[in-house]
Amino acid sequence: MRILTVDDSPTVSQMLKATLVAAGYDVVQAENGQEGLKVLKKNEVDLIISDVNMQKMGGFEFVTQVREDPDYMGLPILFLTTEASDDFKQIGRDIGATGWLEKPFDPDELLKVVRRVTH
Amino acid sequence: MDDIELFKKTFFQECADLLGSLEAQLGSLQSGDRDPELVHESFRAIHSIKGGAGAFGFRRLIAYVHVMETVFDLIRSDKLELSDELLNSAVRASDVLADLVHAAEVGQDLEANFESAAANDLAQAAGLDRDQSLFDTLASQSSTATMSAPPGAKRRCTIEFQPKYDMLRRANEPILIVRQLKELGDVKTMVDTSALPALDAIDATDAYLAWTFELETDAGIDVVREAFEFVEDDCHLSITFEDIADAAEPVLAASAGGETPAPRAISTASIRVELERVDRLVNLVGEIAIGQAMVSQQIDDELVKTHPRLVQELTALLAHTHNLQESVMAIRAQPVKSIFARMPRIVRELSDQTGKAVRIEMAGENTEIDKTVIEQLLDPLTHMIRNAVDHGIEAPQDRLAAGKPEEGLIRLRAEQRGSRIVVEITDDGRGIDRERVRRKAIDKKLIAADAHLSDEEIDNLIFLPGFSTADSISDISGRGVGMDVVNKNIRKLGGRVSIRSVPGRGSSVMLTLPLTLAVLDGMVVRSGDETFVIPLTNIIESLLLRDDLVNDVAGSGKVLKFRNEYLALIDLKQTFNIPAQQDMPNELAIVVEVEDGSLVGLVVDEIQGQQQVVIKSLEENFDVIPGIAGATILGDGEVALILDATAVRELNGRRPANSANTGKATMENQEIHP
Amino acid sequence: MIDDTMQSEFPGVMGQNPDESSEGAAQYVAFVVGEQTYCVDIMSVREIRAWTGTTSLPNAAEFVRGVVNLRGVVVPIIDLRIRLDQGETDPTKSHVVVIVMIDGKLNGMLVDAVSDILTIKKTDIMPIPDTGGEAENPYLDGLISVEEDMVAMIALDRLIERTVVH
Repeated sequence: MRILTVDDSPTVSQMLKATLVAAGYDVVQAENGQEGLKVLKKNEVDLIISDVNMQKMGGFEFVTQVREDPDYMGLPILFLTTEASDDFKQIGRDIGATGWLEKPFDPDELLKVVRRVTH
Repeated sequence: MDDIELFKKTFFQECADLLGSLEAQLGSLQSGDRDPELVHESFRAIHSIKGGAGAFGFRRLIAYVHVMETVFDLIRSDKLELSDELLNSAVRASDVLADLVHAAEVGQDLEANFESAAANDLAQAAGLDRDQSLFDTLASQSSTATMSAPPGAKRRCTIEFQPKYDMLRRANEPILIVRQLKELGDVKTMVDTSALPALDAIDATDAYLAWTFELETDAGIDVVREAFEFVEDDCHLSITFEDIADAAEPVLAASAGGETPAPRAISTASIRVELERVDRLVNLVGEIAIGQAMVSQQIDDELVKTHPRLVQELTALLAHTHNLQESVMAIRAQPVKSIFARMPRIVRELSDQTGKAVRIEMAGENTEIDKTVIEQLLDPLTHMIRNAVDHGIEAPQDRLAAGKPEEGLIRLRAEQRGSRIVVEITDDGRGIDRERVRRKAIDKKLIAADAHLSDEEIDNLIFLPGFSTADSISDISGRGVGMDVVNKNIRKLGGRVSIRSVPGRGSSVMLTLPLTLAVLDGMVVRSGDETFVIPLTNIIESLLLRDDLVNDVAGSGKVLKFRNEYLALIDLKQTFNIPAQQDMPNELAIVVEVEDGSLVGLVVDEIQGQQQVVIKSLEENFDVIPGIAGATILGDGEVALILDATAVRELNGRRPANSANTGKATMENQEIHP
Repeated sequence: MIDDTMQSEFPGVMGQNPDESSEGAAQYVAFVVGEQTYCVDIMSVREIRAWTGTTSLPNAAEFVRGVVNLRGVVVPIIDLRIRLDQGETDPTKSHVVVIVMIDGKLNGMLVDAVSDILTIKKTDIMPIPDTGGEAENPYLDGLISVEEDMVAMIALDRLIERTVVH
């Protein structure tokens, strides 16, 4: 199972990768939405975990674009964010996010949520 | 997992940037600027530190940062006014934050109440204190961040669940929810297909089914709800528990969340670029610069006569290339603000420790220098600021007696002058006590007792190794590490240090630094068939080696009489085993200053010119070579080695003047140690 | 870096490791030093260029002839003849430098000429016979018989050991 993570913080990216790789997932990474779309074209992924606040292309725009492509209709997408407020969740859902994860994340919590939305 | 250490490293690097930014924002706020963006940026820095701290489980740090975050959240949402008192508390709190981060980084165990005062102080200034302060509450909670439901009797939970179309659109699948429920206990599943239309009317992407689950579990309602966390609004859901003796719902400790969303309109006219990409660009432009040198070598009088137009265009092109190179080098540059911003804190601390009243004024914080230079500038700068407070500024009563304001003043200023950056640290203290410096230098045998030195020369004695003017080594100036270390570090960066002082009025230390480490100004010299580059910053003078200037000293080889001293003469041919050429031209000595401040004469055959060279790594594909600082590519495309004068001298001291052929010796060594 | 093409466009991308050899066969670049033919795995070869002069490196081992400028990168050149203990190469314009990547470092091997590209099965590589310790060559990894000739495989990782006299 391959997971695409999109985050502009090196710390978060490395933490994500370490946690997921240790749990046996394949990980591909991107720094922003734009890169995320490119990586997505080149790799078949089973889940996307994306930050919201990023330069170049933020998470909302990124996910909107992903969902516009019918190929990715059933692809689970999690937002990784510091602002898991109701408003935020509403926006996230409106554009088609599957779920969300609060930053900072606990590695066990991350894996639990990943398992919750993937086969 | 070894990687964790690596991530922590990244985190602490990020923290250093964030703390620098926080300090800078608070500094601007303190100077009276009330731009809301400053508050937002402060909040962001604090928030990001908390994020990382959470990821690594630095509980003490999390609890502390949370207080700061809460306060800044209130300020940024205009629920709390930023008074001077509050700001001062925040500045102190950020100092302590830096200490906590540092303690977390090095794994230091701080005493139990280290941060309590600062946290409580801040909470109080923000009006957050109640019976028990916010921080103490948090600190006690932080050890029980997650709490699982207490083991209890199994209960039956009935869940009615009917997804809406939207749930599938968001890639939430009912089967995954069933799987999750199964992890909680035994599940009985009943499917209601009554809503299913005739086969030909089915839209494969729509949702028609409804489920009823009967779950026997000892989990609480929160845990069961969690399975539906992402779909709650995309389905009809009802969860009911039976056989509930008493409502013993587990109470989850309030997690350290509670942020409210805020508009985040961060618009900066900048982009983030990987350093690697920039370096690639710097390298490429370096190549262009080399190509330019090659082209300009082809322009001669003949060409000017025959193709005047071509030469004119080429000259214009060369000018553009030069500008391009400078612009590209500027990409790596960062404002010195990031390190300047840490100085006020240092001054505050020293001020507290020494009982001296000191103020710091800064200018030119936006002056930019290469990132690498900046990183290595922090320690020398810190040291000089400490020196200024510790040794320069007088005690308040002494200042008053001398007719000066009670509060001492330190000025820190950066500016660009041509291709160099000048950083100046000025204090209005007592100045250098020249008589004492002189006596000390004589005591330490650094100068002769009857040496005649100008005021300037005396002042600069403090840069000599091991020199320290403090009679007792004070805690503050750093255990005997003196200005000689500053001198050494700045020299390593290709810079220079000098000091001017007026007794009773103060001192001024000036650092001159290169804009970048990627290029250096060098003198191209030839020794035998080999070409070397000597960094210009090291060179004092070059002179023809006349017989009357050279003496043979038994056991020490040749010495050169230069000004009023004798310098060791090092022949590069001998040091590097370069065969001499047939026709011996007049040899030259390049007088260079090495790291400890002493001078040596390097003997070469010819000076070929001066030029700016792009520094290339030898280690990238080879290894470190003693005596060589790196390589470069000259205008003719040939590689030339850049000399490390200090290492050349060490090499020379270690090896007998007429050593045997080293090449053969190597081969034999290898046979011995396969 | 020279081999940008070898790197992924995205530094974090993982898990793209195509099988290098189909059915255990791999390609090797063969070249000649004196009478003997040698070879190295084609995957480690970055380019082949004509000999140009080098800038000598002080305190380098004798088999390191110096460094050259390879499009802006400083690359050391190893005289394979000296390294294999067969005297010193007297290089001319017709001599060739094979640029190889060894443990992330670019190195040039000065050889007489490049002779062929060989496709060799892993199973065809024979170990160096034990000749009693005397004449064992530490810089060879194995022997391959190609038609009538014997080709020796260079042990690249050992080739660049102890290049500097400290």
